[in-house]
Amino acid sequence: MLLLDNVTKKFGKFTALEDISLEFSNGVYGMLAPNGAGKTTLIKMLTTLIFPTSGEILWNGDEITKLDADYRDIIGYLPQDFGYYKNHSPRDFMLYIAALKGIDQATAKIKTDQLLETVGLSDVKNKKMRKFSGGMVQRVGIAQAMLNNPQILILDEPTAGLDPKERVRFRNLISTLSKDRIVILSTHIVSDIETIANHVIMFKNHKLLANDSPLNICETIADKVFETNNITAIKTPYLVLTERQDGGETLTRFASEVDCSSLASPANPSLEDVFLYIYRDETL
Amino acid sequence: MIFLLELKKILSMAALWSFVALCFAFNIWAIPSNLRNVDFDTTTPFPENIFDGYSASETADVYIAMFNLSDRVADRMAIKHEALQAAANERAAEGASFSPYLGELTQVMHLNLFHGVAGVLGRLLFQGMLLAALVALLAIGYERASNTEHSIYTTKKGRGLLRSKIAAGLVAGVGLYILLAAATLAVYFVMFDYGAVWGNNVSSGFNYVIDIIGARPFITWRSFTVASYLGASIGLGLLLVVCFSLMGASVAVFSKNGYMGFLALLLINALFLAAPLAIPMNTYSYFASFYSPIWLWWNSHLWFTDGGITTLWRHFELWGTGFSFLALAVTCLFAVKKFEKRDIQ
Ligand SMILES: Nc1ncnc2c1ncn2[C@@H]1O[C@H](COP(=O)(O)OP(=O)(O)OP(=O)(O)O)[C@@H](O)[C@H]1O
Ligand SMILES: [Mg+2]
Repeated sequence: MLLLDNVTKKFGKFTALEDISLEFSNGVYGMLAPNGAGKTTLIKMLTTLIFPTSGEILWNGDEITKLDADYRDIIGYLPQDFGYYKNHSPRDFMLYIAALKGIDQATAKIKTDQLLETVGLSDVKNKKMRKFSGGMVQRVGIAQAMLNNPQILILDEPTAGLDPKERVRFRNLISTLSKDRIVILSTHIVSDIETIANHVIMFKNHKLLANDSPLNICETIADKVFETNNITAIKTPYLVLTERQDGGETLTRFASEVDCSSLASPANPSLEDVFLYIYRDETL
Repeated sequence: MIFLLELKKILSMAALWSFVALCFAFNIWAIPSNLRNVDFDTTTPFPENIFDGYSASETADVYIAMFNLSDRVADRMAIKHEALQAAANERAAEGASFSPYLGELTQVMHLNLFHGVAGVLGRLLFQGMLLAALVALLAIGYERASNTEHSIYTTKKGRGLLRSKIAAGLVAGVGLYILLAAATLAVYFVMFDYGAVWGNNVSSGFNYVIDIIGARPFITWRSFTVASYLGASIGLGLLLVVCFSLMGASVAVFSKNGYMGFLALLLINALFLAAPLAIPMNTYSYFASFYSPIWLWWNSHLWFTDGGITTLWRHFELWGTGFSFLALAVTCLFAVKKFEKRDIQ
């Protein structure tokens, strides 16, 4: 079990994350928060790239920095901006990472070929990565993260920059890889979370706001979401969530603290509604 | 294993090999053409024993008077020259002065080979130092340059990789220096036949040092043949190359990128080079400032000799390189420790 105990991270005077306490056991955790909320900061602490200003991160009761190599041995990490050696082939690059992960050469070769097969890069495994598309690079990124069959798989915005088809592929891939381990991923794409995460983590004002199942999170704004084709009729304060065209009319989905069911039809809140509702004051 | 992978990464940088090739071409081009095809007189001994009756204290007195040295500094200067007197007596006894070396052209040719700034060995050493520092910068900056720090330093090996990188940089730097030196000297000794000269004493009467007080005999602390002097110079040069590799590595850990690192290295060495200008002469610090690696290179044609006015103590080259190595090794270890605790952004 991975535990964050009152973790605060400051950059100089700026507090990026304050007093975060979290518990991770097997399952997929999706961090959903706007730009600059501190997702990458949290992930970098979990991967020992940066260190908490105060508080502790424990793996099965031991500080991860004390565990040192033993801890890094059980994590797999896809960074937000995944860099690679342009002149290397995916295979060469993975074999190098495998060496750094302390995997013996024979096993590394087998694992590399398996994983490249899983991510669908077998036919280009010996091609230089220079000419790879964003999606292909991202798939190399996840393959290298999986080399050591990590107990904790950490993916920082794994679906960013992918086209819809790639994104679906990628989600399926993550679902396949998420058995019997902790998967922590960050995203601002609500549908990513809806399809693969069984826990949602949200931050607001650099503090932990929610850590719950998607369903329970949606529950928090139950009875507050409505839809109408005549928004001007609503006289009480409301927050426009989304608008869409429906048979020549504009259908407005909005949130309101007061019950508007007499003027508009109640709707089931989605994660997207929650996201828009919670981060309403923040410029996205 | 990891060390070899890092070494391979360094040695697969094409720019590095181009630089080595460029240095080699320059070294060959820079060998003075007017000395080629000259018939050197390698058989006629120098006619007299210049060390017989040589007075080191006279030289000391000239220095002391000319630079108006304070008592404390003058005392040390006198003590050094007492030791030099003993060395001169040894050279007198072994008849070093009679060695023919390269006859009338000895001094010119000696400097042509050994001079710090204008000699083959000096150029090689400078290139070796530059190469070693650059290799260290490139090796350590590699992950930042390719934006792979995040995935690389979170593996099991983790930040311990820095040690492998420093070691690989050191081996590559020293290796390239040896390669460059071997290639350059091979061509040099094909151009100039030293066959009859190797066993000659470098303290031949034909050899001399010119400094601010005029010409002085070339007196080494221990007896050196041309061959052993060349060997010792290359060997000590190797340690100086190691120093620059460590300097490059330390700077690389603390600098944002290779470019900034390179500027920092230039600045550091410019400061070392300028240090004697900023320190009053009648202090030990002034003389100690010539022990920095860059000054050791500058004065490399004085290695294993008394070192003239720039040093108050014997064996400035050995102590200087030793101190530099220790200081830089400690700095480098400190940098490694620092790197282990640092946020990687
Ligand atoms: N090294 C740093 N120094 C100063 N401030 C930093 C540093 N790293 C991050 N921050 C700040 O901390 C906050 C959180 O950044 P972080 O990268 O964790 O956000 P994020 O949720 O990952 O955002 P995004 O969705 O854009 O990736 C931001 O305001 C950022 O400017
Ligand atoms: Mg981020």
